Amino acid sequence: MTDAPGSMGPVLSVRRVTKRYGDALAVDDISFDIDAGEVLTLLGRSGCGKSTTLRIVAGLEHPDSGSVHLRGKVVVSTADGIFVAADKRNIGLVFQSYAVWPHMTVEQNIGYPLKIRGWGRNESRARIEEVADMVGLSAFLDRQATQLSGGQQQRVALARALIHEPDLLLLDEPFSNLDTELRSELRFQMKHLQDRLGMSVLYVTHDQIEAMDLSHRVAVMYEGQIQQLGTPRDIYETPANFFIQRFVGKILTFDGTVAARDESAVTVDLGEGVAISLPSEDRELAVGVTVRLTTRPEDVRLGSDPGTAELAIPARIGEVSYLGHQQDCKLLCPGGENTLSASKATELSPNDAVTLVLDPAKVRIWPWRSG
Amino acid sequence: MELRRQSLSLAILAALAAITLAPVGVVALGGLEAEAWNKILFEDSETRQALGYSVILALRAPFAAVIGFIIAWALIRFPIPGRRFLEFAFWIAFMMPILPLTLGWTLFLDEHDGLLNQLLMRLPFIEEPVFNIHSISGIIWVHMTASTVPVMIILLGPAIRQMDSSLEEAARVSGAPAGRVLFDVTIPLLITAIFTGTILGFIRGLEAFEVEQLLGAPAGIYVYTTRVFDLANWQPPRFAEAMALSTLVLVLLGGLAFAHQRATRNRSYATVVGRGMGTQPLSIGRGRYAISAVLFLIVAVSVLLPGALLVLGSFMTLFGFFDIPEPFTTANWRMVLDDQNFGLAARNSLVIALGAGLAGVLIYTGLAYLIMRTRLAYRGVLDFMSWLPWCVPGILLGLGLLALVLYTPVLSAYYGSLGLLVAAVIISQFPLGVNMMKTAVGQVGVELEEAAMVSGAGRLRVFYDVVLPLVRPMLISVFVLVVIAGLRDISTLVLLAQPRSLPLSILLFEYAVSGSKEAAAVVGLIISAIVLVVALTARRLGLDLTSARSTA
Repeated sequence: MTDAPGSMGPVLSVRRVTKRYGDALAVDDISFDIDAGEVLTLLGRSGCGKSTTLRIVAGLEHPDSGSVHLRGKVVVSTADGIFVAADKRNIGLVFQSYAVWPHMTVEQNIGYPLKIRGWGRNESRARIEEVADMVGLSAFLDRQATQLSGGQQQRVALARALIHEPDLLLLDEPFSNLDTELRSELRFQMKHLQDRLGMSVLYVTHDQIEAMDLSHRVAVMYEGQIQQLGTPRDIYETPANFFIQRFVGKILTFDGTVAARDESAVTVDLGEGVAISLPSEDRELAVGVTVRLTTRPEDVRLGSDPGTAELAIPARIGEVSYLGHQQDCKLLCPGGENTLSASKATELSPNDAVTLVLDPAKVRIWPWRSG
Repeated sequence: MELRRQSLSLAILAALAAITLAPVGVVALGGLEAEAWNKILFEDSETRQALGYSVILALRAPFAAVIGFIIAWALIRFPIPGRRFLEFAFWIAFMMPILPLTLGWTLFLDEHDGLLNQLLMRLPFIEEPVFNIHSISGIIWVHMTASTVPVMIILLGPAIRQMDSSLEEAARVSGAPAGRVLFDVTIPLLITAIFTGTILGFIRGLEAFEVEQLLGAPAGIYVYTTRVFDLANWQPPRFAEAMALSTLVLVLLGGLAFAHQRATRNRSYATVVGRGMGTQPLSIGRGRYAISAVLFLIVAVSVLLPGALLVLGSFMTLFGFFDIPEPFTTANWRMVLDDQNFGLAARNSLVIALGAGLAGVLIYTGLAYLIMRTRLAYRGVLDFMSWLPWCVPGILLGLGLLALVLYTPVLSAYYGSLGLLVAAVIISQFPLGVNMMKTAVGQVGVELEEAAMVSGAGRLRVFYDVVLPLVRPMLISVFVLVVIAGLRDISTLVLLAQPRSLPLSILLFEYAVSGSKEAAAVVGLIISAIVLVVALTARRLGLDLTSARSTA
């Protein structure tokens, strides 16, 4: 038995977990750890297997193979035929739909895990008040759960998931049913709470901003697999592939072919007589290979005089959308169409010729199958 | 763990099979005797005739469906005066037991003593009685007014309400008058609902018993249910023939039930559900007064008239005779209420209704939860078996249980016991109870249960803390419906009740068919009053007793 609460190892380890639904592979051989006090996010589009992974960790789904350890204790091991039921795992889970029980008051909802654990009336009342205060629900304890707004229900769900000090807090898209403003407000509160309580959290979302903001590490999932696991900065700055780069933040793309290369640089022909030279030591980028160049909009400026270390790509302005705080303009560039936000002070009108100024160090080159 | 799950599910399966399949199985197996088949098919012309009459009587279903549909549509779609009262009146008709109303009609339409015939014969040019309730048309009339049409109104109402009213408004805007809208838009869109209603009405028509017994038997008109009753009451009982006849009918009903299941599964009318705009009444100006008047007339004739006559009849010295010296008396009430048998029957009814209600709710809920929320093996089979009594007429269920008890050594101790009657009611309400509870359980979001599991609650605890409180309204509805069924039921219980276990409904039946119509009117009024008080209380509490009851 490695059952030693508080022992050093990771709070959660997931090893080679696989789950199929019929022929579809929902989770494909996934492994990761969460350390004490760490927030790890599974980030991906709907259907990428992130929620299934969370439900396997929670004990609400049986994996086809693999193992899960919680605080060093085996909770799932298909090899040994072990499966600890959800109610025996000491976890907290905030559901996407909140799953606040409509037949109970706020207090009864929040206090339920304590009731199950046989807490006395007075001590559980004190604890409920403490947690309600933490999430800002003190004034609502006597309300029926059905009389709450979406944001308040979300807080009830969070309080209920926290109250018994679970080993691991699971958050399944907890903000996705709220409007934008409330989302960011609750996100800040959640972050603050996590800092204060030092909880270990497995967080599932499709929203990259929330993932970036809340997580210590992010695992980007695609078709049941973890494509990249790293800090938010790693994921954003050095994405492992084009899919991740496009999914995490905005990009501009330019398609072209490698026209020439030497030891430390490649020259990419974007068509329309425009060719640019970029630093690269990648041997696979041989002459004739189709490539897609990508860069972040914040690394691009509209201007006419590139500095010495910069690249200039001529472009023509297509449509301009005035959005108040900024204007978005379509750019017809060699190698593709792009959208870029510009300050509203800039005079832009369709068909103007402009120059895109790029930082060569911030341009990534992906080999690209033409099509 | 897997093995435990297997054996648990097999145990539940076996128990359910024993209670729902056994009675049906006994009938089916008992019907395998070749000689009995020979008799009912080739020798016994009475039995063949009975089958023919059954089918003829059941053919009222399509007419009832169309009439019911038009009434429901008018009630829902037009802002007619007295709309709420009319809806309520049809709901009352839907809830009322049918035998008391039949007695009321007897008083009005009897060939010799009927009030209407007596009045008409005072006219100079009428020499012979005009109406005879003891006839095919009499039976159809009573069924149509007291049950088949009201059932259709209640059954089709939800389908009409669900339809996006803008579909009809578009027709109005295009220039169609209200009547055209009905035939051009509404009926074509809801034709599936009308069709399934028709099949349902046909099945229920084939299952009807007490009206046919009261009105048909004295005139020598037998349907197969009354024929089965007759054969079972023969001295000695002709069970083999009764069972062969039952088997034949079960095959027919099984086919119809299958067709009904298929039709409701597709539910093509569900695709016309609107975008939550609700139903806007169509405005038709002064026409609404005419519609209102017609509907009030229908209610007056179909509910108020027989109801009032029933009250009148309970105070008559001789049922139907208005021109004897002292036609009215309270002696009937005193006689019935003082009778020991009445006290016993009232107590029996209470035990049967409450016992079946409580035990039934437990069984239905447990079963519904197993079917909806577990990965138990054979869930589909469980589901099917709980649905099976849906197409088994009460008289056949009663016959099956009777045969089972008579021919099984251990069970024979229960012959004539109240427990057997409770079991009969529970079985007869299986489809309704399990279906309603399945709906309720299905509406409890899975994540509500998962949230409790994650909070540390085990399976039973989750059921008790989360599922049970959330399905409580439906639970109470089911309880009330089973109680009402227990109070009203005649066809399931009539072969099973013995003098010491006789409930009120069978007491009513015996009074009615043995000619004590004054006493029957008293008991019928008492049963009706109890049923209506229970139903009205439930309605006051906001319980929906109609939607599931009419379909399941």
